[in-house]
Amino acid sequence: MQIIIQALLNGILMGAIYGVIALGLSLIFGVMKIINFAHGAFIMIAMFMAFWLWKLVGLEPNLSIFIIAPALFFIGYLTQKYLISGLFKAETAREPIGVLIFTMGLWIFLDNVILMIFGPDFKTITSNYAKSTISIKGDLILPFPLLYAFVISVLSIGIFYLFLKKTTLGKAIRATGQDREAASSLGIDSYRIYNISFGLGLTVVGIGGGLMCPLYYVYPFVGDIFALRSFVIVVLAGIGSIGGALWGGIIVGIIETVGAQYITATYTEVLIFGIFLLIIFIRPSGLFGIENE
Amino acid sequence: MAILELKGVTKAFGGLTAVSNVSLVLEQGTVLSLVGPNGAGKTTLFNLISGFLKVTSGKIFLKGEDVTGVAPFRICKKGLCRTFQLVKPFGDMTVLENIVIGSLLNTKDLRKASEEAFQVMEEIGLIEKHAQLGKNLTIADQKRLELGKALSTKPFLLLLDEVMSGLTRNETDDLINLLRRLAEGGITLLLIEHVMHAVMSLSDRVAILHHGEKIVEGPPTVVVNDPRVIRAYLGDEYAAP
Amino acid sequence: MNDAKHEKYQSIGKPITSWKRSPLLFILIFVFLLLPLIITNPFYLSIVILILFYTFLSLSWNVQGGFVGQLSLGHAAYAGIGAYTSTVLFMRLNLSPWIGMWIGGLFAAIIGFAIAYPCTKLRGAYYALGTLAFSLVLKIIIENTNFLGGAGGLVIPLLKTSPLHFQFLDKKYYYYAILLMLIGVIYISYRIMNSRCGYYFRAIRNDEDAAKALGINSIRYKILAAMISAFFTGIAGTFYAQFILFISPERILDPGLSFQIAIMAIIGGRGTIAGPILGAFLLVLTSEITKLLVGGRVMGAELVLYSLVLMVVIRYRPQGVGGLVTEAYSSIGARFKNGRMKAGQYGNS
Repeated sequence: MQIIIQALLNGILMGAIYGVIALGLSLIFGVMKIINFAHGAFIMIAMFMAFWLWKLVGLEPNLSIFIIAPALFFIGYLTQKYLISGLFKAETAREPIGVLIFTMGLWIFLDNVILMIFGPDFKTITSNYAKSTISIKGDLILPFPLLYAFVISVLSIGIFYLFLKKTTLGKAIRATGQDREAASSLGIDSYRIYNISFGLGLTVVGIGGGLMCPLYYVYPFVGDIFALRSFVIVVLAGIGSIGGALWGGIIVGIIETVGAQYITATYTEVLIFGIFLLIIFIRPSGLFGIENE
Repeated sequence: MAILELKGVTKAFGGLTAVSNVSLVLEQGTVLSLVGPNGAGKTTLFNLISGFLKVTSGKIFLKGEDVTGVAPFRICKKGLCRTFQLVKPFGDMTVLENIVIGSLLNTKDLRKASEEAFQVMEEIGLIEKHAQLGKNLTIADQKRLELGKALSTKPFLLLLDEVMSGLTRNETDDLINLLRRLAEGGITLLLIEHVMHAVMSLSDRVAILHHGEKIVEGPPTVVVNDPRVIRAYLGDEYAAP
Repeated sequence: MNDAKHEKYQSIGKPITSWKRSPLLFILIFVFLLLPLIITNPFYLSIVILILFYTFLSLSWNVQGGFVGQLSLGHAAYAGIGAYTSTVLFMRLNLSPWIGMWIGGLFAAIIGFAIAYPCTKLRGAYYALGTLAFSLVLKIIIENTNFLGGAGGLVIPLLKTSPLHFQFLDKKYYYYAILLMLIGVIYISYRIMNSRCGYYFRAIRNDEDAAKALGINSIRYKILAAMISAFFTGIAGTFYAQFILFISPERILDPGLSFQIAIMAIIGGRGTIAGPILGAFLLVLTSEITKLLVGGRVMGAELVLYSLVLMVVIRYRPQGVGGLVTEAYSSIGARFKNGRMKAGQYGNS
């Protein structure tokens, strides 16, 4: 019983991080209708940044996310502006698959270029911070970075929600996502919004990735696992639902940690795939999402 | 036996009722035009009849057979063919190949299909452009192509969604003549049209759709003067008291 | 019906791709048949075999990803199914891989159906992800199944030269085997393209709704394409098993393989026949040459190259580079034959 509670707790905490990362995917799709296959690669980039910032400069992830997040924003902004925009404009409505293939290419490229440069070895942060733990009621032990990550993740999701709901820019983003032409007739520069949205999508990825760094081994393909989680969460929660991303993340987190008590880790992967496949058949619009036509 | 019969066809999207209790009977060889303001539910009705949308309630009969809820490709095989308002050419295929696709409904032989396609292209006036890719055609030609594709399936009932829009007066007249010939040859036509000149000269009957409801149906001259129609289009001030 | 008038216009009873008429085809066949006599070094011959192998895979993928336009990122699963089926049948029942190959292909086709049937309605990206997820699941399952060798894989018993059991010491027999298979898949692709089925595939790819409105059962054809594609990929899996004599989930079920064959077809021009051939030749040749120059494998270098080329091609020439080559060839040919109407102008996709 004790173990289950521990697993449950771990799952919830981890789930929030999954949620914040999934948010990035959801935003990019929600605004631009792009399914960013390179999502995982960017998660990995954020994790690599966190690792090297610690390794070279000694900056712990709990602080370095304040550098990584803006850095990823710029990476996202520039990626959309210089790489994807051109393709977007050249695209006819008939074949939106070009952007998809492009992001697939980007994903494979980033994963493998990091592989080429840094090799396949697993790296991990071995600082005191990374190993620090907190104990609750003496029996439950939580890694401190996990707790910190949870708090920051939930905060980020909350701030993001408020941003989209209350600020002018946030509203402009939502408007562009709903109806691009209507939005531009109101004077909103959709291409600029796209650049910003992609940037924001990667910002949350930067936050999540950086936070995860002390909790996982870092290697070139680490992002792919979390990318799949993100796809599952987005499919579970539905596009456009921010709260849904959090809940979906927590659900996936719990399934993962509690499931691991009963079946091996590899079969937990299978379980998550299975859930993914199940959901896309039964309810592609997700549990919380807006019904698509 | 009527070629097409609609009984109380209704389509609701959540809270919005796009088509409300529409009933219709079409006899063979007749031309009926569906007219109405934008958003009246005309294209939705086409989608329902052709199987692209499922009815919320009501029934659709094709030559007496209940085809409610039947898949679009099956409905086409039964002899109903529809065009799309926003044309859907097969962009990366030539005009010839586009029309051949339609002909292939009735024959497996490519050679025979292409012979038939050439005939269709001649009728609609696209024969000079048979080697052009669908995506490179002008909009007017794409509209012609849209009609040609439908014709090549040799349907007994054609649903044409705004085929006249964007044509010059001459082109419109040519098309009117073509459609009239088709009707005289036994094909039944259900048109969605805004071009009143075509509606008046072609139609045996006209049905007015407004907010998803059929408010009037009858011969063109009668319908056009009906006060309900005038009210729908121009507002209360213009209707006769 | 005015025949004389219509003769003026090329009817499409004639094939889309006019390769049959071109002397190039015969020259190519001739060269390829004699190649092992020129390239006697088994190392270089292996490279050619590899190129032909990937070309075969790419063309197989193309039936689904190109003709009907449904992007699959999990084709490695079919190769794996083919490889494991024929291998297990050989090792347990002593069934010749020549027969096991067909059973493997059939099994792959059945799995292709099992995946396609529920998935065809999915939006493009979800279909791609679904196929990827499925191939990963299969990989994990096999890694954890002992009688299939687990993660360690299966070693095919070495029989030295045993034609009956699809094993040869002399590489040139493998070369002819894959060449024959390749010619087979090219011919079948060609026949498909010039049949009603192929036309329907293209229509679905261009606009599925418009296709449905013309009486095409798009779901049935999409599933058919998936099954044909899976079948050929499964057969390739058996070839791989017999050539390398070792199969493992890491190699034959690796998502990297799925990406590679998709990328080759896309870069060359999916939907055409020349496209995947050119794409495979281009990419595998470049990668092998680079390996030779750089002196061995640098992990990830291959995919870095492939993905870079993919991004550039998709950005600037999304229909693939294959068209450039066929256009160049046509214009050279036109200069030799000015005045005669070139059949190649009509829908030389």
